[in-house]
Amino acid sequence: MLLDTIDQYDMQTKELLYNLRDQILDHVGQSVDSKKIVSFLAKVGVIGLDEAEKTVHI
Amino acid sequence: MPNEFVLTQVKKFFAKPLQEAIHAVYNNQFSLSLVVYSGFQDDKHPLLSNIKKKFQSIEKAGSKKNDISPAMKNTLSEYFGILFDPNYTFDTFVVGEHNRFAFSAAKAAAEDPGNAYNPLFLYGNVGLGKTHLMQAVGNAIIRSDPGKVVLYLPVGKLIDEIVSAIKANKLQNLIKKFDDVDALLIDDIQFLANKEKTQEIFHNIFNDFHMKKKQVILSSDRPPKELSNIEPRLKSRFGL
Repeated sequence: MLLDTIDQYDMQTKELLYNLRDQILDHVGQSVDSKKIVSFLAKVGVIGLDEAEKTVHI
Repeated sequence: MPNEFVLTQVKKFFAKPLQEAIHAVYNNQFSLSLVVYSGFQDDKHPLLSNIKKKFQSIEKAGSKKNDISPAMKNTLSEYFGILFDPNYTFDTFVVGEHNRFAFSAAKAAAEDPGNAYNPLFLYGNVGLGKTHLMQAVGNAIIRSDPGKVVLYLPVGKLIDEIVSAIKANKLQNLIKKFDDVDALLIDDIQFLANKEKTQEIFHNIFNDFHMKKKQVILSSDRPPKELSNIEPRLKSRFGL
């Protein structure tokens, strides 16, 4: 189960997901009010990428 | 998402922008999956960053762009860090057959806050404009009297604030803040279900507003009598 393995991610995976979150937020910031982003997405992050299912888990 | 409430809000406001962002910055074949992960309740989780700092400069620029007057900013919503959108007005609300009465009632509440419809209870499915309408009332109240303080809170935020205040033994400080509020707008009240202590505290806040003839506006996805796991005395107050 994805949620159970997050604590065991290596540094590289954490860095990748952290950077992806940053890029996604930058992109969302181009079309959505920044206050709304701060209010609702402060505790929202990318927790996984599933290459097989082509899914980004947020 | 740290909890179900945030999940609901993100689905409501961000599903499309997040999907578009994933396509643009990662891979346009990937789709979005929104899940609850309680680890994100910790602000310092390694997969999170401090976006408040990141968006601080954009916020300043954005506020100029939206031409929000200082009085409009003078709401306790800002204190609680919640969006109170000045663009949600009656002029920008699309009126149809299904929402004409709600629109008229909201306008009446805005023209005579605390008297015309108090409380004003707005209910309907997601996406029908309940948040827009309740904030339109708030904006109208502030525009007609910039000295008024309007507080908009999604109920999840209200619950968080009450729980934090109880833990910190500062409940009275929190309740005192509501004394300064002239109109209280609480969104998605159905999420109060099963929160007995919060219901009790909210009941007191609600009664205080009603007694002082201060406007209360509530929104829900269902009418008061269909709210489940909410105290009957509170439901009956909603249906006044």
